[in-house]
Amino acid sequence: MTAKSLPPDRLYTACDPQRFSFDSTQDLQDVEAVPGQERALDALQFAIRMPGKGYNLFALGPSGMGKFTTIRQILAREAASRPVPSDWCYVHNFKDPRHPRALELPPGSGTQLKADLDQFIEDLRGTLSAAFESEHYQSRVHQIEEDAKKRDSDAINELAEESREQNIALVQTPHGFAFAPTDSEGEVLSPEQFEKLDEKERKRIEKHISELQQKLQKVLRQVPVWHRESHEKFKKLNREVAGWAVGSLLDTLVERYTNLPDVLQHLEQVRQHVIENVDELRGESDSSSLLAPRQASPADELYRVNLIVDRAGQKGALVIYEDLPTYANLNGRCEHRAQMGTLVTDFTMIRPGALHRANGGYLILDVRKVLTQPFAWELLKRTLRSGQIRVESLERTLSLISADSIEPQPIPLDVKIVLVGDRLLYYLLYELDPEFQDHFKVAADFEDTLSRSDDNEEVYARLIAMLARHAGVRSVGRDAVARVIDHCARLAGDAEKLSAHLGNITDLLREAEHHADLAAHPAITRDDVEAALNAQLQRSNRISRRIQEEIQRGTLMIATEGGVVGEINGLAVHVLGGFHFGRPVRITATVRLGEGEVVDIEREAELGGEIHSKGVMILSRFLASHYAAGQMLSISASVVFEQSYEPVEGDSASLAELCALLSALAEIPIRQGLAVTGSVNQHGTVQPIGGVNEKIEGFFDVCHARGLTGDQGVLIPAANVKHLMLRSDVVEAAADGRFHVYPVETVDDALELLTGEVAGERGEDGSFPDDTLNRRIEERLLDFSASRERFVRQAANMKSGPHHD
Amino acid sequence: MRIIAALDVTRDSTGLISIATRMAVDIKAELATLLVEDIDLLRLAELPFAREIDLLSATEAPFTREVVEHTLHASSERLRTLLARDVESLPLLWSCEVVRGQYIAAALGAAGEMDMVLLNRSSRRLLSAGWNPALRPRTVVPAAPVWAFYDGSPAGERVLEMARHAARLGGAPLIVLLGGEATDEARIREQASTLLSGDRARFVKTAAVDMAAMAGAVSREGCSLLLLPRAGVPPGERAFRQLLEQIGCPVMLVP
Repeated sequence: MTAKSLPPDRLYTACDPQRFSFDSTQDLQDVEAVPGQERALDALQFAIRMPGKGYNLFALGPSGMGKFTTIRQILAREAASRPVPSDWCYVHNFKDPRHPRALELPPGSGTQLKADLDQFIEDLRGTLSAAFESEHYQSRVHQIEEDAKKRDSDAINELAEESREQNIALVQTPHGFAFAPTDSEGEVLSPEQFEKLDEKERKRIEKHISELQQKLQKVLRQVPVWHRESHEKFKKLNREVAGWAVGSLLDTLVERYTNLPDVLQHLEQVRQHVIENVDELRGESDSSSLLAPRQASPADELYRVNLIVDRAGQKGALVIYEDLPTYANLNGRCEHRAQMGTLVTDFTMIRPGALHRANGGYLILDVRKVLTQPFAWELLKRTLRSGQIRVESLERTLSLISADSIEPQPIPLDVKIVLVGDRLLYYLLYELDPEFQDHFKVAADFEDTLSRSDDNEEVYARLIAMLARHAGVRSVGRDAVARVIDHCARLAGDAEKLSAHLGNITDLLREAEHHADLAAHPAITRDDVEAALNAQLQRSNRISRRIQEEIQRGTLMIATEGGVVGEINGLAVHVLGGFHFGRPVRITATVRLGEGEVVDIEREAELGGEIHSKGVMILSRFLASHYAAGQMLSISASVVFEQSYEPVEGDSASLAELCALLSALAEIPIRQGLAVTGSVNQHGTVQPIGGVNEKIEGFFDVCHARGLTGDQGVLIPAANVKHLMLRSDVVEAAADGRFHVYPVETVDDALELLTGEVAGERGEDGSFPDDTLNRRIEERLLDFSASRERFVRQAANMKSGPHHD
Repeated sequence: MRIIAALDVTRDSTGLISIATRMAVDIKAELATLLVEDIDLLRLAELPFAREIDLLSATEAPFTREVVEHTLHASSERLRTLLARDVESLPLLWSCEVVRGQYIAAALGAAGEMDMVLLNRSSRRLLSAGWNPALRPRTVVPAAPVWAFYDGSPAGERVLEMARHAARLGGAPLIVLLGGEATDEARIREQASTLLSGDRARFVKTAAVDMAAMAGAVSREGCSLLLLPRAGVPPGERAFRQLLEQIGCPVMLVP
C-alpha cells in the first residue's frame, strides 16, 4: 500500500491562542518555578537542607536553561530565612606575628570593634604623651637620674678625695682615667720633679697609685651593673605609667566586649604590648632607623583590626556568585607592599575571597570557569575537605617568590557550594576525579525540554511573562505568546515538547520588542515575533543561502524532476554557529557482478564516520537476507554522496542509500522530485532520525525556488511525524497539494513512493509476485548469482584441462 | 668683637661649639676657636708608672707619650672637621688654632683684653646619658636656664647684655646672680631690671664671684650657660677650675 502524504495539521502543531484566557502577559503571574524542572529543584532543595559534609550541589544541563537564575532565586529565599553569619576579622598575633589571629564576632559588631581600636590608636599617643609628660613622671625620672648621677659622682669623688689626701690626682685621660702624683698645690708633677723625690717617696706613691688603680677598676666594673639597675628602674617606671595610660583606654573596651573571650584576650595582648613597647610607641626607640625592620609605627598597624567579613545591615545569609573564580578571588589573598627593595606583608593586607563572603550561606560557581582557572579546582576541593578557609598565597604555595609571608589562622567553613555547568563536565569529573563524588554528592539535572500539553502551555505562557518582566520587556500579546510557544517546540525539535532553553526565549523577546518599537506596538505582537525570527534567520543563514544558490545555478547537482536509475536525493543537516539547516545531497549507487560486497565510497575515502559505515553495513545485510537468501550474493555495489567533500556522519541516509541501490538493481528509475531521509534496520524497517524539520525545509527551498510541481515532497520515517514543526510556507504548500511529506515505515513503502511501482510481498511459495519491484530485484540478483556460478565453473574446467571419456 | 671658644680636644665639646657659633652670629662677633691639647696629659704620660684605666673595659694599659700624642692629634683633626662643617654655611668670620698648654691658661692667654672667652671642661661621668638609652631625656624638657653674674659694674652690664642674647637664642629662662654688698641688693637688682628692658629674669643673691657657691646653685637647678665678668676670674685659680669641672655647662667670661 502506497503511503499517503501528511495533512497540513500534522506538519505543524500550533498553539491555539484562543484557549488562553489572558490578553497579554501583563495579566499573568510569575511561575513559582521553571516548569518541567521539578526533579532538579527537588535535588536542589535536598542539597540545601541536607546537613553534613559533601552535600554540595552540581546543577547540570546546557547553558541558557535558566539554571543560574532559578538556583539563585531559590537560594536567596532560603538564605533570607537563615541566621546572619558571623563577622570575621584578622588581628595581629603578638606571640607569633607570622600567624595572624582570626576573630569571630557577632554579625555587625566587627565594624564597632574596628572603630573602637582605630579610636584607641588615635587616643593612645596623646594619652601616652600626657602620661609621660606629667609632673609625676618627670619627677620620678628626675629622681632616678639624680640617684644615678649621685652614685656616679660619689664613686669618682670618693676615689678622687682618697687620692687627693695622698697628693695623687685622678686625671681624666682621652679614654678613661689615670692617677698622677701632685705637688702641694695640686699640680701634676713633671717627670723631673718626680725623679727628684727620694726613693722611698717614689715607692710610696707608686704603691698608692697601684692600689687606687685597682679601686678604680673595681668601680668601673660596677658601672654595667649600675646601668642595668638604672635601666630596670626606668623600664619599671615606664611600664607602670604605660599600664596606667593604656588601662584608661582599654577598660571601657573590656567592658563592652566582656562576652567575647577572644576579643578580650586580644585586648589584653594589646595592653601587654603597649606596656612592653612603650618606648617604641613614643618614638623613643632606635627602631626608627632606616635599617630597622618594618613597622616604623607599630601602633598604626599592630592594634588595627582588619575586618574582612562585615555583616552590618545584612539580613539572613548571603548568596554569592563569583564571576571570576580565580584562586585568589575564591580564597582571598595576602597583598604585599614594597619596602626597602623587598616585598612585605602583614595581617592588615589579608583580603577576603568569595568563600569568606559566602561563609554561612551559599556560593554559586560556574564549573567551567573554576576548571579553567589555575589551581582553583584543587583549592575548592582542599577547602571543602579541610572545612577551613586558609588564606595562602598561590605564589608561595608554588614557591614562585620568596617574599615575606604570613599564614593567617584558618577560618571554619560553613557554606553550600553550587556548581553550575554542562553535563559533559559533570560526567567527566564524576569519572575522572575520585574526590568529586565526596564533595558534590547531589546532582540537579535540568531538563532540556518539557512535555507540551495544554496545562504546560498555560504554565509556559506565565514563564514567558516572567522572562519578559525580568528582561524589562514590554508585555507580550496572546498571539505572540502562542507563536513563542510554537517556536519553542521547534527549538525542541519536537511538536510534543517545549524547549527549556530560557536564554533563547529571552533573546527572542528582546528582539521582538525591538520590532515592536519599530512598529510602535504597545505590546509585542505575533508579527513582531515573526519579524524577530526572520531576522534571526537572515542573520544566520548565509551558508545555507549560498548552498541553495549553487544548487539553483547547477553547480551542486540536485534533480527535482523526472526519474533516474540508481540516483536519489538524500538529506543532510548542518550545524554552524548554532544555526541548523538542511540541504539535499545527491546519492548514487552502481551494481555489477561481484563477490557480494557493498562498497561505501565515503568510508573508502575516509570521509565516512563510523555510524555512517554501520548504516551501509546494515543495508548490505538487508540486501543479502531479504532477496535470494538461498544464493550467494554475487554483486559488487557501491554507494556515494556525490559532490560531498567533507566528513559524513550518521545513518540517516541509509534508507536513501538502500533505495538507490535497489533502484540500480531493479533498473527502475527513482522520482527525482522526492527526497528521502531515515535510517533502516536489517529487516527493512525505517527508523527515526534527527533534524527532520530542517531536512524537509532544505529540500522544499530547492523545489520552491525551481517552482513547485505538486509531485515533489520528502519521505520521512513515520516515527518522526511527531517531531514536525515545519515553517509556515512549507505547511501552506502542503495544504495546497504543491508539496508533500510522506511518512514511511518500511523500505517497501519508500520504494513504492519513489518508483511508483508495487513492491510486492513474498507469497506462500516464497517468491515475490510477478511484475513487482522486489521480484525484479531478486531476479537480477539470481542472474548475478547464476552468472557467477557459470564463471566459476568455466574457470574450474580451464584449470583441470580437457576431459577424455 | 671676638669670641674665643676654647675646646679641650679630649673632651666633649659639642655644646660649646653650638653656643659659640650661635652667639657669634647673633652679636656679629668674630669666632676664634682654640683647640687646646692638655699639656698635663703629656707630663703624666712621661711618668714611669703612668697607666690609663679604660672607661669602658676597666682594663689597664700603658699611658705613653706616643699614645697621648696620637690621640691629641686625632682629636684635634676631628674637632677641626666638625667645626668647619658647622660653621662654613654661617655668616661668620672664623678661625681655628691648635695650641698646647694648660686649658684655662691657654684660653685666657690667647684672649685679648676685649675678647669674650667661652670655656667648657665638665668632668667625665661614669653614667653618661649617652651610654644608656633608658637614661635619655624622655620628653622635650625646657631649656636649662642661662645664669649671669651682675654686681652693678660696667663689666656686669656687659655680662647682662650677653646673657639676654644667650637666653633669647636658646629660649631659656634667665637667672641673675646678684653680687655686691647685701645693702646694695635692691639697687643692683633695680639696675639689672632696667638693663634687661623688660626681659623676664629671676634674681638670686650671691656673694661676689663665689665659685663654690655658684657651682652649688647652678648644679642644683641646671644650666645651659654661665656668664661671668672676666675680671673676677683669676687665671689658674683652682676654684674656677673646679667650677668648670662641676657645673657641666659652658662658661662665658665677658670683659
